[in-house]
Amino acid sequence: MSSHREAPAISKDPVADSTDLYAFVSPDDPGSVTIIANYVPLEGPAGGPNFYEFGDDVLYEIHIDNDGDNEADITYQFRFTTKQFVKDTFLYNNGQILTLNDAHWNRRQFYSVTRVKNGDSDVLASGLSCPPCNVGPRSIPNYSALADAAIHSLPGGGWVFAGQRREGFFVDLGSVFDLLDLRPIQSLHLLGTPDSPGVDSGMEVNVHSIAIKVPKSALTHDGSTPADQADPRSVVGVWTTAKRRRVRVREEQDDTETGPWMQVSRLGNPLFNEVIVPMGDKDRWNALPPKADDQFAKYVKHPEVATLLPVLYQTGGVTHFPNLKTLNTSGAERTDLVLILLTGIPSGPITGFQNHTSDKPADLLRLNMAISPGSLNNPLGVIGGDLAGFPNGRRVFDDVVAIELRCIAGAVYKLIDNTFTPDAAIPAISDFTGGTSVDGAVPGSGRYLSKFPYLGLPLDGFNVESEAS
Amino acid sequence: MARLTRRGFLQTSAGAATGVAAISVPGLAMVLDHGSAAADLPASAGEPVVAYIRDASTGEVTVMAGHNEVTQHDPELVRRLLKAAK
Repeated sequence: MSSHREAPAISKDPVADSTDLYAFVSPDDPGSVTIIANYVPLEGPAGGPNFYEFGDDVLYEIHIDNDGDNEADITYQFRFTTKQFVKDTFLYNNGQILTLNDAHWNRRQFYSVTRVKNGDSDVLASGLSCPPCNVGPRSIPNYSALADAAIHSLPGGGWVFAGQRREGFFVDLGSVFDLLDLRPIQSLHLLGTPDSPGVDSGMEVNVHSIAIKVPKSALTHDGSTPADQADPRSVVGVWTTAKRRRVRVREEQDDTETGPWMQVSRLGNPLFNEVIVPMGDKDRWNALPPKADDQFAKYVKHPEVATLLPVLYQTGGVTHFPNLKTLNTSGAERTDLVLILLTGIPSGPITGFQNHTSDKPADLLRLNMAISPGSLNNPLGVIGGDLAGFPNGRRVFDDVVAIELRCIAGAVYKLIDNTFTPDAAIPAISDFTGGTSVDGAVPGSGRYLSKFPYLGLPLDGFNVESEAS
Repeated sequence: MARLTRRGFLQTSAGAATGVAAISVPGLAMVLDHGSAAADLPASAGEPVVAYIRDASTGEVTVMAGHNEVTQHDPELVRRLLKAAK
């Protein structure tokens, strides 16, 4: 998925596995930016009695580069503490959970938020309550109210939430990893079968989200509020990390940990480590900072998926991506993808838009905060004519799979070489029928909310099948 | 300061590395009676201290306490730790 189980080592450590990163101008509060960092992939809603939670032994961080040097100028740190109140029961709750401090709720999580700016740490809040996991309607008859109560204010006008939400990322995982056999266009596949609707692998699962909403001025280098999209100060680069202590010594109870924090997970642009970086380098990529990404730029300049598409999509020996095949054969570097993923797009190629941060490559999710969220809400984002969407940051409903596949196929290469003609098959690239999105992938639906924290309420364990169908 | 690799870290975390010794502060003080790495570490009483020898033949030992680590070239200390581990 976007970054779910994307690398061998972190796939064995789901509590620290960053799955998705979103950064966007808050549509209902356009003076602010919302950043959401998701962890714990593919949560089955009924996964009790030890329901999902954040790691007390993990340092979760959201980093902001606001001066174009690919280093963190502002970092929001999140640390969690788990408390078990009733030890002589196997149950997560031994009665109904009606409030965030309900005595029937046995195992609760609390967290702190620390802002690090230029090396100075400021604890913004501590002892904040997470909501419970959505066990079921008998245990938690009014989950929505509990989840709302777990949205906390921060000094300086910010808001924060940490807890279970519904998975927002949609993808037909089974088709993507079965030799990229996208069901809506599988009749074009080398091993072709009749076209069929996509299957959303994210439809029946939850995730754990850390969401923070802060005034735009809290993220800029000089404290200004971005107003001009062409102004370099309007653009920030965002990425997340998860870190563990260097040493853990197993004990019969309460393991010992010591040593400095070691980065075990990283995420900027969706799918970067998942489908751009080859398997042999994925664990190393997860342990490195974005400023070290020059060594991975070769995978962006010559992406493996670009070589696969002309081979996998052919009929009777004739590829459906002839122009991409020619581009691959030429050996030309994919400067279009470098701009999208590693440096940001400079002013010029796209009217009224830029999100350039540096010519030095780094996988950052770049957001131009001066661009209004607007009302287009096109899941195809910038390539769909909606400048408020990916790769200008990323909204919860952006169809990043289709966007990235189409770009890798050459959808925007003509911005680099105006003699290039994108293949006719590119607009059909999608893992879902309809070409752009799945049902419900719009703001305000059950899958998404039109207000903070924007990802929908988690599916409950009792009704998951009927809710998701 | 030497950096461990990600894989090395995982091995250490799993307790699989043969050169890991978890010892208490008093224990370390007894071992480090020459006064070396411990003097540079802000370990407080009761806090665990871990000495990590990646390859005994190099004579290097990394000592971790709190959020800090110090790597020193100290073949004698390495020898004594190995002896203590037998």
